[in-house]
Amino acid sequence: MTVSRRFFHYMSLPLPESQLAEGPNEPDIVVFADYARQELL
Amino acid sequence: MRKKLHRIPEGLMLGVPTGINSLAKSDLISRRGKIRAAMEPILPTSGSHGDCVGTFIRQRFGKEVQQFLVDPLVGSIYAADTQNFSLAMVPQLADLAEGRSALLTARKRKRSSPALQTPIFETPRGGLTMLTRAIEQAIRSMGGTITTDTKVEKVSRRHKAYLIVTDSQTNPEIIADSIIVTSPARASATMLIDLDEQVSASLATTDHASVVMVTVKTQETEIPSFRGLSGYLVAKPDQDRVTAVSFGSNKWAHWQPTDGSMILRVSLGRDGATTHDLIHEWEDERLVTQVIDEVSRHTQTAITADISRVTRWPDAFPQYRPGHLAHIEKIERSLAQSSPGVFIAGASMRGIGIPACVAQGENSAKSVVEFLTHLRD
Repeated sequence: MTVSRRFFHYMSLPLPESQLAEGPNEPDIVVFADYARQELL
Repeated sequence: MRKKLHRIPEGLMLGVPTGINSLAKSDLISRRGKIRAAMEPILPTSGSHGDCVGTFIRQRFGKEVQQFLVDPLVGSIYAADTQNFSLAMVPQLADLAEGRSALLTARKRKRSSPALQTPIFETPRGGLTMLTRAIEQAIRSMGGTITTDTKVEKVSRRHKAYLIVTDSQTNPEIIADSIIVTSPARASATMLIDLDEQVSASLATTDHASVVMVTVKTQETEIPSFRGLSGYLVAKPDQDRVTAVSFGSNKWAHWQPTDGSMILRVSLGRDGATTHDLIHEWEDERLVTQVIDEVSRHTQTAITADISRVTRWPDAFPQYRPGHLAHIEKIERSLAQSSPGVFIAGASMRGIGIPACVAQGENSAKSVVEFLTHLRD
């Protein structure tokens, strides 16, 4: 699970910045699907 | 090979197109699907979507945008089927239903949100347990008491306060002026039956989805072409058991093994799909084999598991059915009348994510303070 960076800045819990790891800037996601199935209908 | 991994078009907002050009270049949507989606800005205002994500997106953009873009992206957050999920509970999409064109509103929202120069996600290096530990320490340092491994059996009225009956051998009864109930809805239903039968019955109807998470450390560099990719989602028409694969070691530098292998976090099960057997019947070994088979097929790469870990999450994802907000508002109104000082919060109510749960916790804490102040006046 990932957490929005803004959340940690908003939260007042004793978790120093050094204990946090940064994730990707823009998550690169793809979708597994049947290629253009509708073309065949 | 027609079934394969497809890049999603650029500039989407939770799967909703904000322009036609990037959609036109995508090989995920057919020509017919693209033409249907491109008509969205000139369509008249849609009829009732019945507070359903899937219905709304199909009305505006057609079936393919719903099946291959919005459903994978939104469904994977909630382990949900967007054809049976509340639009109001996904505020970014509900906002798009307000204007005449969802595409033009999405484009406006996208342009008005400033581009971030820094990573948008963070996580505690020691895992999310760090969060609960931090909360525990904060509560104890303020003189609070935490009791774990203790089941609340019932809550009932005791004069002007409440009696909490637990299964603790040493301290079975607790008297409280005010209570915040944050357990999953069905557990809360059992606890609250003596206080408010109507609330208890409503909570008991809440549906939950189960999920299994399989974490796999692969052997050395099996999927070199996927370096840099965050992961992939499996569109429902093409799902077997795996719904999403996160390439954890690509996303998090502190997860990157030094031997060139990869760490994958693979989700199985969701609302509306057969999941009971995954949770209760399949052994770990069978789950890992299923994951390796499916991921190998999806990525067209032979993968071998080096180390694996299986985590089962039975009934962990509450499902916000269409009309969910009206449903919980009715619960809150009834409880306020029958049991002043008792509040309900948590993932079953107003949002499943950590920020949404923290916000509910803070709002409930304010309600408790107001109630106690009023009680003492």
